[in-house]
Amino acid sequence: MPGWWNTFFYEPIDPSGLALFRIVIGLLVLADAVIYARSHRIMLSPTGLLSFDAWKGSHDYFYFSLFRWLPRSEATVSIILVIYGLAGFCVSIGIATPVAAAAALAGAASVHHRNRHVLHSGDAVLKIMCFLLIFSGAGSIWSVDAALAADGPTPKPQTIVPWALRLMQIQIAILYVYTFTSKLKGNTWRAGVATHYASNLLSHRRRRLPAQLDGRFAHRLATYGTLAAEFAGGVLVWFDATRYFALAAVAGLHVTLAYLMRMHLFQWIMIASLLVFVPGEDIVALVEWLRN
Amino acid sequence: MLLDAFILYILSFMVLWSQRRGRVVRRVIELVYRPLTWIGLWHGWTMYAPEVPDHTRIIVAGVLFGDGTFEVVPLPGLADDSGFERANGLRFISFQYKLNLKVTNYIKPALCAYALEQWRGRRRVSDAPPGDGRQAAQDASVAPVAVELREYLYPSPKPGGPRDEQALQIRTVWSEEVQV
Repeated sequence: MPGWWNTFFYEPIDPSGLALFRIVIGLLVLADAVIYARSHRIMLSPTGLLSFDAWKGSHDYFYFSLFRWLPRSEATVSIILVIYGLAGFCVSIGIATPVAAAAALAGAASVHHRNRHVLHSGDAVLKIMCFLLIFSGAGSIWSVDAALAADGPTPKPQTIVPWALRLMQIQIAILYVYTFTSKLKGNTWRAGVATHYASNLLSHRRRRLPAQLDGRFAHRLATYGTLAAEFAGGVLVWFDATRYFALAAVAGLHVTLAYLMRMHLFQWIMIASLLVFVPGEDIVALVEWLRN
Repeated sequence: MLLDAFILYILSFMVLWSQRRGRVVRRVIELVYRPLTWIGLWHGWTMYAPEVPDHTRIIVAGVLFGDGTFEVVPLPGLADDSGFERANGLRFISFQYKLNLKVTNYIKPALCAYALEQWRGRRRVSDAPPGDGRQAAQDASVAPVAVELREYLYPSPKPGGPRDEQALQIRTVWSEEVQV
């Protein structure tokens, strides 16, 4: 493989950014499990919104889900949700991190595949990130794993080989580039009226826009601003000089959408995923600065 | 070497999965990446793209009576905007939108059965004295003949224009006979 490949994927880096991401994404897995638990009769029960029989007869039954192999009962629903939530918690505090991440992926795939029609893009990001966390070395610091290793005969090194982190970064960048280029094909986006229509989707609306932000000029600004933020999230995050402007723009976009629209955990998963772009050295410097 | 191959496999999946177009290409890509999609790594990134819908579609379930009256059975997610209903908002919205697609036809009988069960459960509660007068009268004279899923389509206003409350369109998207 060429030198740049080896440098990009294999040159050791500080794992602090990845560890912070691990903590947050673990909590989001836990949150997803809790939200599912509160609506499990509707979402996952054998007699819920999508009955077990209807699911079994569908193409979706092919995909991995523990529901396929365990008895169809309310107890099974509870067991799977406990595994899912517990796995998220273990990822967050870093107990047997690779195993916990694999369990989180298994839990997420199990509940998500039980009814694929209630999912959103954030669910896919969550599963991909759990998958890559298995290989990432994210538990090498700020974790129970690290604390246990420090007491052992061979403490773990404070750097990681970042290939899995690089794949996470590439995945998030692809996501923004893809959604940006897809939007450019749309008339509502090119004409600067997309946010007007988005804010008028009654089913999505959480809060009404203030009157002064509901005009043509404001929507044009918001529409092109959204496109600019998504472009930044896919391209400008790769350059040191523009990284933090890009991250701030994308995070600002997601916070605004979380405030205005009913978005489940989608926006928070996306904001958490931006952490994979924050260099570990900067996290360490921030922690030092906060300490002092 | 093996790790490089694995990275290339994942990388190509990330790039190609969203680009699968055409029957043959689609089939090949789905076959090559089946292990990844089986464990749940399939994805799509077209959030509000290429167009933001210029209307709101809401699917409503309800019981149709012999006299033509239609009693709505509130489905979760849109009836209430508090607590977990709000937290789950996007899930139910996704579900509502998918119900407009043919690929979800297999869900619709199950959803009708769910709505009928909810309606029967509510009726059992309201049958208890003092009961719901309107419903009790309805039960005595008219039997349910079908469970229906109806689509309510609210067009969004044009930019700068008012919302036209009269523009609401309703159509039945699925109907299941009620077996007595």
